[in-house]
Amino acid sequence: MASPLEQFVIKPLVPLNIGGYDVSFTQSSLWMAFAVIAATLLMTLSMRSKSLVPNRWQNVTEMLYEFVAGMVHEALGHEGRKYFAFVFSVFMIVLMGNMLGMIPYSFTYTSHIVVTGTLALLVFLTATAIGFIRHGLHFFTLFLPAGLPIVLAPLIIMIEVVSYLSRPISLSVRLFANMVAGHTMMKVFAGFSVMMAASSGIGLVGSVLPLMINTALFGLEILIAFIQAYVFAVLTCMYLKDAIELH
Amino acid sequence: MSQKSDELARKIRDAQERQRQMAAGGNDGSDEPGKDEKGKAFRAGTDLVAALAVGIFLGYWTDRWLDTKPWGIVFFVFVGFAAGFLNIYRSQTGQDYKVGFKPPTAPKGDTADNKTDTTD
Amino acid sequence: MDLQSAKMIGAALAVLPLFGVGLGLGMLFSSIINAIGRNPSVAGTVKGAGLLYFALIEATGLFALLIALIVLLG
Repeated sequence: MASPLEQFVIKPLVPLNIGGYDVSFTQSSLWMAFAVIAATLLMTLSMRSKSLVPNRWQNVTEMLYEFVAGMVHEALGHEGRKYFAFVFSVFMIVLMGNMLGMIPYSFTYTSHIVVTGTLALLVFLTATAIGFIRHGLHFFTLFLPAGLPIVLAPLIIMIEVVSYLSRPISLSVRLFANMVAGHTMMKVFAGFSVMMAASSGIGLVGSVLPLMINTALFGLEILIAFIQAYVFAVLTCMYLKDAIELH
Repeated sequence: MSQKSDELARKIRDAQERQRQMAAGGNDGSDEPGKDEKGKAFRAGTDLVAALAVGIFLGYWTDRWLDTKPWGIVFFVFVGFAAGFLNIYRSQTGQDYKVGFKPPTAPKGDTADNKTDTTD
Repeated sequence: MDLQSAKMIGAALAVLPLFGVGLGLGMLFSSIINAIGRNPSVAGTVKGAGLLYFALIEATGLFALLIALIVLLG
């Protein structure tokens, strides 16, 4: 019986070593490539007909587009058009990672804190850079609320800076923990099923029960896969909004 | 073609009307929490811990750097807790992670909650 | 027993108050849900007060964590 955490082990497919660093093409990289290909194919092929009355695939694409476009418009208003491509890319890479991970025998690359951490850091640095480009050093007023007594200023600024620094951590840990917990739970229930089926007699009948729970969990996991991608994209919008508007 | 598009326009209008009715019927009672509430519940858990982790990290390195054991960690754990609590407070009052204190603009409750992240 | 293992046992003992924190949070949230269930119109007020008491209870857990960290790292 394999350990439930064994599914997260990264296995190199094409070992590579450049300058002392291990840059092997792993199964994680493979599924990332699959995610990019799947997203590109979905976007291009389904929109090829461009019919007024959409077919199913075009409907999916339009729904995804409008979902993110609405989210960006709500947070950033008219100015958000410039950042739509960024938010949409982030949303699609997280969504594809979560959803492709639901296919049996596949690999969920969003279940690694390295991947989610890099994504969150990218979002965080982009938002900070946009803030600095648009406002220059004025950006630091983000940490100093207006009308604050000068005595309290050092403490409040420190709290605000810590709150600001906690964003990428909370963003990445949330996605990573949800994915790891969900997939481990499914593996544990699947393991129950196999163990019960291996024993003869009443265990064989009883093994249906964990299987039923696992089926329900699968539905829940698909919901979580979507909600986590949504939360990631919404928070990206919120961070961009802070950097742009500076209230 | 135009007949087809007319038909489509009519269908869209009908669907929108139905959706409005459903939304109006679904919102007046105190039924299950909406999508907003679920999203919030999924979010709130990690925020406090993340800010606390930043605080502990800063405190630990301040101690290593200035050799002020254990006062750096004592101070920064409290700062981290305050920041984490601020995160939760903001997400619960619908200000969504804005850095910088702002009193809630709308009265707490449904209006403030719906304003922020209804995206569908 | 060497110092490192003694520190670890001490840190583990120091976070035992989390039992009480868990109990307190459970009671707090159960009564919040109770109150909102009985009278949904006070949801805003109850949530606001609940958030404050949540912070107070959580601060107890924080003291425990702090002592554990000092024992472990100090």
